[in-house]
Amino acid sequence: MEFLKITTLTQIISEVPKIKNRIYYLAGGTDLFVKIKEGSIQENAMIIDISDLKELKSIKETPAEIIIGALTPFSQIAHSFVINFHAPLLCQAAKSVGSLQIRNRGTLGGNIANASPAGDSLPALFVHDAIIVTLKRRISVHDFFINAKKTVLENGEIIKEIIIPKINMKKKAFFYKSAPREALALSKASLAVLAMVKNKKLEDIKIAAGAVGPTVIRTLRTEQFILRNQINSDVIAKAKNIMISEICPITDICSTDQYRREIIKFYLEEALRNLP
Amino acid sequence: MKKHKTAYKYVGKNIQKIDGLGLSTGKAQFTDDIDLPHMLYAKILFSPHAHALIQKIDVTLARKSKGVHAVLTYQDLPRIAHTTAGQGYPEPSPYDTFILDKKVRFVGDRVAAVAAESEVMAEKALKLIKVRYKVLDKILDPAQALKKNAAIIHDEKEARTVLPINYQPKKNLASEVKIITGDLEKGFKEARHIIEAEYSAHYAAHCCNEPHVVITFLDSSGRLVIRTSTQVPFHVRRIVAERLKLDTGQIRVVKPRIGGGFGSKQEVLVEDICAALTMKTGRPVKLEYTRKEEFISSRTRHPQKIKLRTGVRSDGTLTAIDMNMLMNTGAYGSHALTVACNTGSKVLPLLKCDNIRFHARSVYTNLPVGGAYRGYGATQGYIAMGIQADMIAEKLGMDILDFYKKNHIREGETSPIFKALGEGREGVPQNIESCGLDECIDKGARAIGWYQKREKYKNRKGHIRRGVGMVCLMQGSSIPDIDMGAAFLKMNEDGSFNLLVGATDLGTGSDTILAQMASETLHVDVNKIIVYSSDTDMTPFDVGAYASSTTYLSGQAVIKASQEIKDQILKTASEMMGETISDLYLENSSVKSRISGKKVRFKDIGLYSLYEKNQHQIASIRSHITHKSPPPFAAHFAEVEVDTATGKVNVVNYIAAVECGTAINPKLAEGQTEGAVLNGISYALCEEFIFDKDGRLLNADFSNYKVYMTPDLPGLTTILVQGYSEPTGPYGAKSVSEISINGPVPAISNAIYHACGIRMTHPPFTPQKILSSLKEKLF
Repeated sequence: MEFLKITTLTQIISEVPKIKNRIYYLAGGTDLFVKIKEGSIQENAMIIDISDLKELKSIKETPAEIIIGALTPFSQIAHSFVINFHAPLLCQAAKSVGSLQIRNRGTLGGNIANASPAGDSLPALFVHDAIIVTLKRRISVHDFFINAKKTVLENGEIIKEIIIPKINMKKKAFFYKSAPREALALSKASLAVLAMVKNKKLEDIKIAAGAVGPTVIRTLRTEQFILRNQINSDVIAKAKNIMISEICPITDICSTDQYRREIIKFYLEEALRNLP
Repeated sequence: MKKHKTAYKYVGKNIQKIDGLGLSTGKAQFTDDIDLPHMLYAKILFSPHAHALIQKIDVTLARKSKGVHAVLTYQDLPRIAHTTAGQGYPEPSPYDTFILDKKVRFVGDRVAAVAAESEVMAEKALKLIKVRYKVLDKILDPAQALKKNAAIIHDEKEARTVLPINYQPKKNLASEVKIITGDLEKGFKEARHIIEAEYSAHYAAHCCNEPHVVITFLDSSGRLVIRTSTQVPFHVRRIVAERLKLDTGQIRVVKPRIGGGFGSKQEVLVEDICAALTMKTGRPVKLEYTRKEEFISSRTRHPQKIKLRTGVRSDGTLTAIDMNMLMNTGAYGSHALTVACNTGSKVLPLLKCDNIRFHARSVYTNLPVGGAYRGYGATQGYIAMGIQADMIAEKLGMDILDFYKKNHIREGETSPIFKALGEGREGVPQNIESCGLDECIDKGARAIGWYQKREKYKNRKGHIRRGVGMVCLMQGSSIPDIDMGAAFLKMNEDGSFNLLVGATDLGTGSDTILAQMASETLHVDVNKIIVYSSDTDMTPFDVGAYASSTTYLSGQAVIKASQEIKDQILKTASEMMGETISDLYLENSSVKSRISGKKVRFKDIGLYSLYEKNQHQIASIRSHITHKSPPPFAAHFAEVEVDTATGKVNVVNYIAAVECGTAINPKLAEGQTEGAVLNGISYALCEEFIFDKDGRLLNADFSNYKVYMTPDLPGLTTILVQGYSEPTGPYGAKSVSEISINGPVPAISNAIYHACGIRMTHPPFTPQKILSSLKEKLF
């Protein structure tokens, strides 16, 4: 394993293309060090420490967007006024990450690049239609993940920032997560629901579920069904069934597929009952 | 109930832990905190198979690998059958283990050991060891172990027991106990109601902060020194000597500060192989298990399946108890007999009943090995008894508090179980001489608001339900007529004292409370007592820290030695003062005369005795054994919130009311109780071993084996019920360390029942299980 420390974007642009090894970026290290310890990092890998790359550690705002630097730690996101105003789900999700120590180290970019279906920040990014910006392209969050632990990123391609388009409408947001204990626990299932309301009428709804498939799943058919109907018990029951058909949970050491389905149904019902 | 009140100056006070400052500033040294010149690092190759024969093992390449100094396989070591259980001699556990063997019996069994100049080099060498296994049929379900054509896990001719117990390795039976008191059939005939249910207790890991770790080296005269994280230094010395064919006198075992044991370090598990590597290379060797190795290869709580049948009259009198238990001891029989015995002996005497049958069998499987774990079988037994008591009370329409008050054993009473059931042999009959259980029940009930909440939570709506549940408990204090602890005390010329004890402080605080007892007896401040514990060359013998024995047993040895020193001090003082001993008394580090009012200070006596006249060392060494094992008592109350939509159980409030005789140091007793309760809540709700179909543990790390942490703590209140002095205990003390781990599973299960009407009898009570039980109830 080789190691390189880089502190500016210019250095990345000049140095990284020369490297032929498999590259792992060290951002917060909260996942990478676990992988190293497990022995799942290739012997000839190049670890590039970008933890001091200050250019990627800010939260900015334009009239239409929030721009979050990839190396912004979760504790900063959790306490950001701007994010809390425009994307409260992301704040809630950030607060539920790992433990205080993990939130101080772990970064949004790292959580995305790691591509775990249980990544806490991901459902929030899905319902906000976030855009992931690398040094060479912009990718919609919906096109970013290929499979569990697999993304469209090429070797050495680095996430620069995450763009969250602002929504200028009254929002109601719900985030649920089931975990075996209060901190440092992978979620068994999570659900993010973002509803846009105008004159007490539901204008739009976006729903994304975590840890119930190889990637986070945006459940479009469920969203459309809800939008087409007035919410009542019958519609909720039907929506739950559509939701179940859109996710594909597995049984692993964290939970059973059956339990994951049950809990997602309950979360959806909770959100829908609290919508009006 | 008579209550005793005695004023003490040092006993019963929250003296700061004497090793506290050193520990919290990082100055105190744990096993791993030293580095010796030329030290080698050991690594073990563990079996990937649950049951297999080693057909060929080739270590040629490993031996040639860079930095490697030794590679050991079964071919290099004496084949001596032993048990890893660090128990008294002879151990009641079957001799069925070898340092290394040509057969592996569980995933995680040891195959070979390497010592190299660095850990990395040792790990590289492990990869160069070539092993050809012949995979054998395996047993992963204890219910299959006794079947006729089941695989035989211990077919080696050496497997045997020293004690005359029913041991049939050819049938995978590691131990069997059967006792009957009274007339069971008559008891069930007299019953108005018969209640019957099945319960289980699951695997759990001890999760000490500090894993098993040992450093071995040869001293200047060629003696073997073992510096190890152990609960049983003297058993380590004896057992390693046996296994390596050394003289006991050739070995010195040193116990530094310890980062927790909870029973896992009552095993002589890593010392033998590390010592063998030192003997082979002549170099210091360090062996430290990683967390993963702790999970897969060290010891666990024995899983049990319990069938419990009880008969009861309409007035709540118990007429019969029939407990039938099957225990999974895993691949080896460590503590297989005694943990099983304890499931009966620490549980059955609590509720009075004349007609009892207890039948327990421990069976071998190709799964991780059981061992001592805080609670030691009682934890498993109280799952059954504690939940069933709630069921009985419900059947009778009786409040559970009244049921316990009617039936629990009291001062002056005995139970036939005490005599019938001991540790692998008959027990020792005893009368209860101190019992504050009624006060525990009353104080606990008041603290949690029992009567109001039992009513209030009855018919709640919505998906969040609340409930309260409780359980009563007892444990023991040391093993009567078997355990021995000794203390050596000497006086220095400045009036300070060296207290050398075999007793083993694991972080438990025993060094501190033993010093408090010496202080109280000698009328000196605790900072004048210099404690040194557990070094087989320096301190007298003690069986070690297990069976809730240190306070009760080793404490009496300290008091005896202190009293003898007191007599010597008075004698010397009378010589110095020219007064008769009967006129003198001890006060504030001095001897004073009731007649003349004169006094001499301890430091004058110290100087006089060593330098001035009739020079001699004021010193005493005393031993203590006990003929009793007086139980501490406790009433635990849990208040839970059950989310019937997600199945999540949240403990919102927990009250542990404990009567442990005199609490020598209430803060430390409270710490023991809180630790045990959290340990138990985690076991009840969260912790579990997940195996694949080949017997591999899938969650052998802290990311996937969840243990409750500080944010998960409920509102937790410990009530130490005081004033019940145990006549046979040091300053009236009994044990406190184990009892409280027995409470959470039954108390939480009973609270869940109160909250939403489901009887959970198979912990852990995970959201999945709660949800499926709720569904079953609905349909």
